[in-house]
Amino acid sequence: MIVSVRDLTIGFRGDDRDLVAVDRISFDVEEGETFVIIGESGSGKSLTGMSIAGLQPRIAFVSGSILFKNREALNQPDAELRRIRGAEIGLIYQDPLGSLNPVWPVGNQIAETLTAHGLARPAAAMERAIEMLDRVHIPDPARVAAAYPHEISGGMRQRAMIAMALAASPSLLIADEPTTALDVTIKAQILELLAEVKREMSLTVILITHDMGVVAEIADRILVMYAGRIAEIGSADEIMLHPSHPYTAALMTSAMISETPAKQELNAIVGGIPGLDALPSGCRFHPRCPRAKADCVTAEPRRREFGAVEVACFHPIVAEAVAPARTGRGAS
Amino acid sequence: MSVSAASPRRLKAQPVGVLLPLALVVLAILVAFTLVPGLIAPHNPIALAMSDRLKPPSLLHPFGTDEGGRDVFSRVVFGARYSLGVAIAIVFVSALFGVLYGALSGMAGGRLDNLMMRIVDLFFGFPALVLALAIAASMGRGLGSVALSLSLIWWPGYARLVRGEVLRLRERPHVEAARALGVSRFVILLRHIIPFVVQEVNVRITTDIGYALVAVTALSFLGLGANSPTPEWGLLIRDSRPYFGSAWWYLVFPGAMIMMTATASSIIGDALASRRPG
Amino acid sequence: MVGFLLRRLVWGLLVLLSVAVITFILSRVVPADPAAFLAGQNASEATVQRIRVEHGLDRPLPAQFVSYMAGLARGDLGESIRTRRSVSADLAQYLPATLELLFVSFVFYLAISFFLAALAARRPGGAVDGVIRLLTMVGTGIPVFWLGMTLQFVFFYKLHWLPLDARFPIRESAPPVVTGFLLVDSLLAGSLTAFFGSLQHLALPAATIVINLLAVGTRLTRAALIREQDRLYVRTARGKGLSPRRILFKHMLRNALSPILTATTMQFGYMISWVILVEVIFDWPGIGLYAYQSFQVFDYSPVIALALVSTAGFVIINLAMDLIYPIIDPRVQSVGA
Repeated sequence: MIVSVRDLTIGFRGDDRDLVAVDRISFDVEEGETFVIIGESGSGKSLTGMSIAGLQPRIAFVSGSILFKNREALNQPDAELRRIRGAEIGLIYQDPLGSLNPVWPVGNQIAETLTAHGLARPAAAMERAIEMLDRVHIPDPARVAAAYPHEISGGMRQRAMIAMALAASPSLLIADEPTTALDVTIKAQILELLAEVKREMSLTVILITHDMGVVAEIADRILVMYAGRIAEIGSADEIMLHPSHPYTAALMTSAMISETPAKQELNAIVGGIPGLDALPSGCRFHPRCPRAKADCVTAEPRRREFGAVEVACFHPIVAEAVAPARTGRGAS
Repeated sequence: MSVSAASPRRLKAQPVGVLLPLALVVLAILVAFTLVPGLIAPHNPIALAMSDRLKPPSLLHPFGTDEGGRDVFSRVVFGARYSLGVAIAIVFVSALFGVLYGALSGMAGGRLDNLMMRIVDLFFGFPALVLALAIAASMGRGLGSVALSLSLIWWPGYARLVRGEVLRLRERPHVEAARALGVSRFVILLRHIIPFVVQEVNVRITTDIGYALVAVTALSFLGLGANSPTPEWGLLIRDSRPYFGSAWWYLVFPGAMIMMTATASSIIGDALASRRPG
Repeated sequence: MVGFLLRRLVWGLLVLLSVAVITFILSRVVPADPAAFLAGQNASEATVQRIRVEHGLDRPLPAQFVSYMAGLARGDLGESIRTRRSVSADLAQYLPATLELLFVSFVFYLAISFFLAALAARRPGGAVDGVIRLLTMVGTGIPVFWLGMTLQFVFFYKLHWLPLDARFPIRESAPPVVTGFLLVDSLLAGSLTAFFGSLQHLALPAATIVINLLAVGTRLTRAALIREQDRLYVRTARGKGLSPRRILFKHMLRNALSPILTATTMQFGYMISWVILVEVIFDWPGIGLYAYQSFQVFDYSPVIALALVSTAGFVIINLAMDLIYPIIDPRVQSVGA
């Protein structure tokens, strides 16, 4: 296991009480797999992913344990974490234009990953930056290296960000909604690219998204989060074929609407994610759940094994012979 | 991360909250000084008393005496109406002209608006004090000349502010609705736009009074404004120049008065600003 | 890009033209007798008449305006009655002192302002931040001339640490004039005593200006930095494992520079106004003091000339800023005006 999370809790201190955004979640990420954390916005998925690198917001408090390569990474002194970030953990984000420094050429920003960690001198780092740009299939990498972020296209920016994250050959890549802001065609290209570099560089990838299409493309294992808790966790094949948690099922269905026009009955999920100060009792999904019973309101369902996956639900869906139309899985 | 509207970030108490009452007290004092100086000042601000010259602060003379033996406190009290009075006059005149100008420009729109704003921009290119000096040289000294030159420098700020607001408010739904109903532009200006603009302008006026005061006293300090023996605050400081090395009170108290007034106007302006909606 | 600069240049010329028109009106149209105005109070009738003829003050206004503008184009700013020299020559002599004062003040201001703002931005709402906001609020109300005199009182009269006024110690001999900037000239002459002497005299006037600038500007710098801190690229930089210092200087500073410089340009306008007051208080032999002393004796050509020159200076500074922006922020090029 390259990452091992135990009882991770992330919250914000309020005037009279604390607001908990991630509530004691635990999971492992195996080396070499593509681990996807999926949920709507507000589920706590980004906080979780970012906290692995210690990049949760400064005002948040965090507790629990995060082991990275068997070393505790949670609440460590910043100097420690800085050594790991960039060199052992690479990160890419949703908005490549905002996430890149507007006043520096792209190449310099990539090279900086290396020079800041003392891995190369400036000239060599720049060469490597151009190399990386080439690796992520950017045409004319030398020109792009000298360009500013606003001068290149969105797709190229995301590729450049990937190049920047991987320049120092980290073992883990955390990708926070990397395709959300991209066109459909570019989305597919970026996902392909991620799969490719993962293979070539023997990476472990933790990908955070709300987009089921992304999951279908590249996930090995999936963690479904809802309102700060784990709904379901297991292998991607299993979960996609036989979603056990009602929330997972709803996610699958709403994603499949666009893929199978025949399913016209809108199974849209009613309602929205609860705010942190108005969390439902018991199972947090119960107000929106079509299968909710009395016990769902009073008690919090503990995570337990259910068939081939783990699920936190009192009344999970038993596997039916559902064969949803899915896009073919990219090499993973 | 969805944190609902009752977001619990801990906010420290704004310093303004503590200072505002102080500022209002200062304001009250100034009003008193301006309106009824005779009631407050213990001594005659103009009559010379050479036997008492340059005495340090005491119970009899809380701010000490100047080189003519005059009570500095009394001079400061009487000086309020000159220094502050001129500052207020400047700000109101500039605001009046600037608001009208800016409102007309904003409502007119198009090329006329462009041209009018270009003229405003022009004024922003002139360094203030230097121009005031030139105007005073040309038109003679005295508080009137100071008032004129500072008004010329101040009005563009209001024009720009109001024109910006007018442009912004023109796009609002209730204005569009009125246009659609065929209401004349002038009435729209009066009824729908000016009330909102007035709030912004009030905030600016309040803070500007402080700045105008500093400018007026600066010009008097240079000898452009009031003449002896007028107890204008800037002039007091100018008069203190030969003596302040030992007669510190002569420098400190008039200056502190200016500072307190300017700071108070700033605080009150900020308070007004934070109170307005949106 | 070139078009943009050309437009700014034209605008600058327009501003200069306007101020020339204004000064023309102030010196030829407004005074009851322009000749007496230019000749000064104590001039004899003969002098007044001479001036009237020399400057063509009996000719119709349009003709006067043309010759006035022609004179300006030649660099003819009139004559100072007090010094009996051309105003241009006087200005040339006194300008370096003013420039040295402004330059040193401004550099110190930028450094201190950035340092304070960085401290405040690290903990928004924290202790340092609160103190800075309080100081800013109080500071904007301080009259610069009073501040200067207070500094004189404390550091000269009470503590005897720094000199009262003037630009150089009286008993010492100033280094030979090469640039007109004493700090530079003393180093060029290899005299450390001269250098430190100049520095001592520069300290209080510069401090006056710096403190006032800080009062006005730190709030803006702080706001600019805080805004940058919340930006996404800062998170990216943290994600790369960069040290906070590196992030501050290499990333945030460049980005915050643009709004900081915009605010700074406005402050130049203030600075030009303050410089007169500071020079008067500290007897600093710059163009501000020169104009003021002339004003005192009703010698008005220098005053008018100062208005022209300082406006020109302001225009130049604005143009310089326009040139600097694209260098600092590459995005600006594509935006244009």
